[in-house]
Amino acid sequence: MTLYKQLWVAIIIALSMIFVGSLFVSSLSAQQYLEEQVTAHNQNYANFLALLLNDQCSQEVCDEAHLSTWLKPPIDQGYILSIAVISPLSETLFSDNAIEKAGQAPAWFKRTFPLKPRPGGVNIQSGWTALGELTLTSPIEDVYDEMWEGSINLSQVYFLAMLLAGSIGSYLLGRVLKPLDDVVSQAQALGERRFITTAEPWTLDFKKVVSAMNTLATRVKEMLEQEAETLNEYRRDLHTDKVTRLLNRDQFMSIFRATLARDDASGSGALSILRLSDLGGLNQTFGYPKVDAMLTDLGDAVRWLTNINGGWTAARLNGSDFMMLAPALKQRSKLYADADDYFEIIPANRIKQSIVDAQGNTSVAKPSLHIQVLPDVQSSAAESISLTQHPDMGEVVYAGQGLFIYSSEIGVEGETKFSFSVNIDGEVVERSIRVTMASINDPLSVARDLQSQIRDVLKRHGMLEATQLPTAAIYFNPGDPLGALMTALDQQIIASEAEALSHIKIAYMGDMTAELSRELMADWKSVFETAFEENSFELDLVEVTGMDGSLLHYEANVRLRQADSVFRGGEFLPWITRLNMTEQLDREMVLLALDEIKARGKPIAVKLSAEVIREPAFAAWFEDTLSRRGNQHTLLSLQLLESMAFRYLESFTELCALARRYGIQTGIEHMGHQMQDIGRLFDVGINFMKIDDFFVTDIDKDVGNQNLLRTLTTLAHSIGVLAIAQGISTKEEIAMIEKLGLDGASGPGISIKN
Amino acid sequence: MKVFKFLLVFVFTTLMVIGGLAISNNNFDVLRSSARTLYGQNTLNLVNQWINLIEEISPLPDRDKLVYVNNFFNQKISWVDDQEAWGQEDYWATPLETMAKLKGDCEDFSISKYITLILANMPNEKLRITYVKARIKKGNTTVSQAHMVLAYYPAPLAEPIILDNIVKEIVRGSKRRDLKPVFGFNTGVVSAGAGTKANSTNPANRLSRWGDALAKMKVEGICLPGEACS
Repeated sequence: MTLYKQLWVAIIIALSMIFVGSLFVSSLSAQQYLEEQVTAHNQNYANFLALLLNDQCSQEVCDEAHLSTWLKPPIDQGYILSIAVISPLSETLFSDNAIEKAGQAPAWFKRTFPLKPRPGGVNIQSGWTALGELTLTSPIEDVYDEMWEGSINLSQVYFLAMLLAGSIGSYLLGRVLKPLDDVVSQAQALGERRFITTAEPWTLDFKKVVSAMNTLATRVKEMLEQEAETLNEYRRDLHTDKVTRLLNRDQFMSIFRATLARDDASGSGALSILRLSDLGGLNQTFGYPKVDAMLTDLGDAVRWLTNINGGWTAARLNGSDFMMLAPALKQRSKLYADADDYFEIIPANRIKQSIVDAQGNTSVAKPSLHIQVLPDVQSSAAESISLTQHPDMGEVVYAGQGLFIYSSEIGVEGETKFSFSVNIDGEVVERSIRVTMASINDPLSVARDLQSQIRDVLKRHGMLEATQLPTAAIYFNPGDPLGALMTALDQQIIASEAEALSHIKIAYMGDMTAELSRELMADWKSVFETAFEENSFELDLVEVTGMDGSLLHYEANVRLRQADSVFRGGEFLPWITRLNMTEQLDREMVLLALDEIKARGKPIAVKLSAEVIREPAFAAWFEDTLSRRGNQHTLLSLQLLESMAFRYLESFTELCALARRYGIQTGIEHMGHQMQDIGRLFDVGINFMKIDDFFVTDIDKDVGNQNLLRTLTTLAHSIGVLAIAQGISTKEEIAMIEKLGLDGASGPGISIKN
Repeated sequence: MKVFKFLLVFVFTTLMVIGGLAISNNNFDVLRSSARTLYGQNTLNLVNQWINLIEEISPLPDRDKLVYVNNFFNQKISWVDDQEAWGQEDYWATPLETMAKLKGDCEDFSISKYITLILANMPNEKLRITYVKARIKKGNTTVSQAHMVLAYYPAPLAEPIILDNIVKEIVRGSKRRDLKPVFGFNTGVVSAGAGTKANSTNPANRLSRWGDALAKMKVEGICLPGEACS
């Protein structure tokens, strides 16, 4: 029974008891009082009649006729019920009574509170002679009715009091219980193994409960974070270079292989290599400890680059080769400018560093470049500023203090020059600066980022002059042969090294040109616009099964059907990304999945992009779509790339909460590269994690990865999350992941068993 | 345990009441002490005479009782208005008060005589205190005045004998042409509204002078037959 019902029952019982008690007391006292009043009335009337009759009978003979004349009227009038006159010899001289009609009061009431007024009695006499004794009684039904009516009124008052007390009680109880809802939702979250903490409510009793649950949640969180840390250290030791703590060659190559195998936008991108030439010479000149310290710094600097560009992967291939893999996940632009004697160019990435927020997210404001007149140059205000080439490529403003800020729109690529003059040491100096804008995952820009990052480190350690930084980069597409890519890159780096300069060379694969031409962009744009209009995007469903071979869901990849051919996602998704059409395609995918669910009842997992989950309007659109599409949506699942999930954890958490309200499952794909962050998942409330091919491929032979997967699976289970292996291709792999405790698998080696 | 205690108290109280009834009739100790403490030795002497009278006349025939009692009060008590005796318009005095004052008006006479006769074992139904309209000679004129006498009915339908303080001898009602009976009562029928039930919430008890007088008598130590006295 709920507290509300108990409250009502308590109020009803208490007030009913008081009601019955007070009804009894009031009826008893009314009974006594009315009895006395009627008795007094009887006696008064008798006395009055006696005085009358005594006077009458002293004047004439009082026979029965005479008595009737005097005694009948009061009876007929209805004020007296019965009158009898009995002579001293017990003869009845007169007797009459009215017949009283029963009143409203029920018989049981009269039995419970009987009214027994005494009859009025008086002697009457004729002169000195006694005539007899007159007795009379009054009607009593009216009196009962009065009592009955009083009781009814009383019961009504009590009923109202009951309602009032109940309503007030319910209201107060509601106020007191309000914090309970929060307590319950927290308890439910704990039940679902989402270890959230909530604010302690003011109600003391609930405060204790919430405090205890918060303690529990915090403990679990700490435990998970410790586990994650252990896991991360384990992974690092297994797969990284000791000095720089960057990935080693083997691990980097498996990641790159997995990336090329991906059939989506992240299957294309840029790969860059940098060679620290003459590392042996550096060791001789500076000694191992100094060079190792530099390399540790270098590792940190390169890792920082991967951190601010989610999804990038860096590695130290062997002693002097460093690689950066930049899958085309984003389409921000970047600015570059050449340095000058008087000016310091503050590179875009260093500006970004200053606006990385507390969550590790970088702002994606307009790309901008700061050009600062060096502090030791005495300068006054800028005389003039102008863009000399391509004025549509951006704008320059003078911010004062010798600082020029150049900014441009996102997505614009190319080169421009701007010139300005400043007053330096009393002399007007004119300068022009070349500014290059490039897509962030453009091979050149990736190479530049890598090179400038490493150059900064060498400069700090004073080793810049003693070495060269030949760099090469290449653009890759899904399905490109890894060997050929590496060969092309090698050729360029060798060529660059031969020049003994820190040049950047861009390699090309055969006929494929990685240059992004505006013409090609326009072509693709029209293709996609037509496709959206004509609904020619299709789902390509890939099975994900449980370990018993039962279907968990289908993972939805996108296909584009043109008149005579079908494009796989990997072929066109990079263009979708570049053309800022990701959000639109994601929505199309959600709609296609809902249609498929409605038509065939298949459970489908849709991959969302970071762009769409960060779009403020998406949540409202999603809810609206779900409510318009009926109730098949419990078969829908949503999944997001690991790097994006952690990068935009707040948006992702909100999306998961929204999905949970609709019974939609959520998950993370290509999991495992950011194990240090796994503790942050503890209150997100995801349902599954798909572990990246990288950790799964050849799992039956790799003891290190076996340990990793076992721990990761245990960790996942402890927060109520299913662990699914991606990229399974052999029976041996299936047997091993089953042994390791995973819940499901996907990949070419998987088939549904009925 | 509680029930047992209650029963014990109940039984004890009942015994006391019954015991009180048993000894009350012929025991005027309380009355004597009331007389002495309230009014002094003279009153006590008169009360003692009165008690002796009751004891003496109890065995006598009704007629003799009437003569003795009528004479006792007509001789000892002088007739005045209430105003003179009690300083108020209409006051119904108890026999003790009347004997202490040695003065009384018509009700005081009638009450005292009535109570005395009842105490001398006269059946209640034979006596009625009766309101009468009396024509009294005052100087040369005759005035009508409300008056009260005690009537004795030897038989239910017989003509009563009147005990009065104006005409000091007892005479038959028909001989008293100056009196016109209006309303007669005793502790019997009227007591339905007054005497027997000592209920303080009964309005008739609270309001009536007859009730007051009976209640006061009880306090002073006169205990009528059939009443529970302490």
